[in-house]
Amino acid sequence: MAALVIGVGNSDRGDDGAGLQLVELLEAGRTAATRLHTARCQGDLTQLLDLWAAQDEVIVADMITLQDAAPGEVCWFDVGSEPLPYAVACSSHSVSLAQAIELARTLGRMPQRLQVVGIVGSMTELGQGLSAPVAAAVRKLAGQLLDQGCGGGLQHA
Amino acid sequence: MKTRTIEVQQLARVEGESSLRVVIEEDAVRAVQLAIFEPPRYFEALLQGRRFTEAPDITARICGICPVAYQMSACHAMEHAAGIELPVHLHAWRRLLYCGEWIESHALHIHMLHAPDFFGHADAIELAQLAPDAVKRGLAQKKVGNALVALVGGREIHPINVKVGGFYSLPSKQSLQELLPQLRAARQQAEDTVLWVASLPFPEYQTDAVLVALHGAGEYPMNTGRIGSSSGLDIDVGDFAQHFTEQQVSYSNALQACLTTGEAYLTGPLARMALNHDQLTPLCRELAQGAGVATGTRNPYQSIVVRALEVLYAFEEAIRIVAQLLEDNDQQAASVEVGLGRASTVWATEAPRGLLLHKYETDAAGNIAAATIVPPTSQNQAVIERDLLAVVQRHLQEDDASLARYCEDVVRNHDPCISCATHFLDVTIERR
Repeated sequence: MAALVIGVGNSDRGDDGAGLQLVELLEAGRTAATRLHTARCQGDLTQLLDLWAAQDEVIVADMITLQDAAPGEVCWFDVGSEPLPYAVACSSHSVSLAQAIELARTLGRMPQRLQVVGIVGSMTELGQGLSAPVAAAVRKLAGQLLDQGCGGGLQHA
Repeated sequence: MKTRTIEVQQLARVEGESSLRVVIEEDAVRAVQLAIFEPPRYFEALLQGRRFTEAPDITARICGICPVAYQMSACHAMEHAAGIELPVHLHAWRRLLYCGEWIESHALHIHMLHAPDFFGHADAIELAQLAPDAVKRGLAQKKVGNALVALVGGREIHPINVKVGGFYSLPSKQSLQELLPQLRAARQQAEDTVLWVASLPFPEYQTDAVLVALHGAGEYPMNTGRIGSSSGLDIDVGDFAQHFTEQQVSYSNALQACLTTGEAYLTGPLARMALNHDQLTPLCRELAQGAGVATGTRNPYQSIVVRALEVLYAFEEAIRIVAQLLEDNDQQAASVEVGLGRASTVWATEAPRGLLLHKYETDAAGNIAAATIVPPTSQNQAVIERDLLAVVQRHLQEDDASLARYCEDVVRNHDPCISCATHFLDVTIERR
């Protein structure tokens, strides 16, 4: 069963590009044996409902801010039955990732399994790339997902 | 002296971020300040020294919701500077692209951001529980708008197929043909949305702001037109600086615009409708009549109805243009050559939120020497503050949490794309 990894964010705003960079690395590193599909979602998070339609297993990757967490820390959330924790901020846009997930749940448009992997970031200035700890975290996460993607069935670290 | 302080840390359901401060002394509102923390002219500085051909792609990055608007204003400005008149078919493709953006932007705002205000301040999730069919309809319309932008622009966000002179390539007739059934289905959904929003309960409020929009191009304005106003202004876009001015306010990094007469003005759907309602399709005019906004409205709460009518219009217009393009010659060029040396140019198009003006100066080599971008949200800021002052004064007896919600409602009436100018909102109300 192939999983879909959706990178969310804005590559022009520093660490907000973490999810998109993860997708870039997955696409560059996957082989014919890798059971991973990828997609991007930039700006309008209501598109997620269409991107993950008819998918069994979905991972959404995005930069998050989390109190007391250091940049580069990676946090997994299984949102199949529970919403994203309130303390986790994922978006500065009109419809946040948390809201898009709850919208999907309300409208009956959730995938069979949905996880969010949040990469804790700190810098979101325009024109900046990923900070060093976030870039390192994304590389490590991509490697883990590619390894797991070959083995069938993604499990979070 | 009795002082009240009300603070809202983050304004919900707006695109981007800004902050609001309200000062109340005894029983009078003394100040309302909508602070927009604009990346201080970041993009205008970034454009300096770049080739004129890069303006569309750079300015598109200002906003993820209305990138087409920035690309259109930039392209037309440079083509105008070069004395280039695009062939009819390229005008049609550009208008088709703009239809896609109007649809996706308005559909998002109507259903995700604005409509919840009319259901007891429910959020979009609660609205989906209360009116699931309406929300599904909105998402479906938005999806078709996104598909239209992706088809013509090459990508849904920050389109990559737009260039000065036209497009890098034109979509095939087959792809247009495949989109047509989706457009027709969504048009019906848009008609249903107009009827739905027309039934919402609207608070009584009238703005006396001067309404400013493009007009006079023989069509409901998107890419071209003269600048007109409800007070009788009718000028070439190039004369903008003679009639409009921008000023710095101490509490905000975003400049506020006003007429040189000192009057605040409003751009966007209310202004477009007021000045161009006779250019709508017969179906739109009929529904506008039924909704009580046949010649427009000065009630900002009813902007949701006008946006819904503009979505319907955009679908009707898209269907008309697609039919026309399917009849066209297969060998149409995707672009015309544009060369540019030293020049000074101004152009405006109608972004979903209102008039978007680009001004450029280029040097002898065709590089951008200076750029000025005037987004609709910064032009509307003064009127938004006036509306806020009036609403707060009207509801002074309410508690701070209620007052903050009223303020948020007022801001959302105007669909500010604060991402075009800023990145944050929180509200502070001081009662003294």
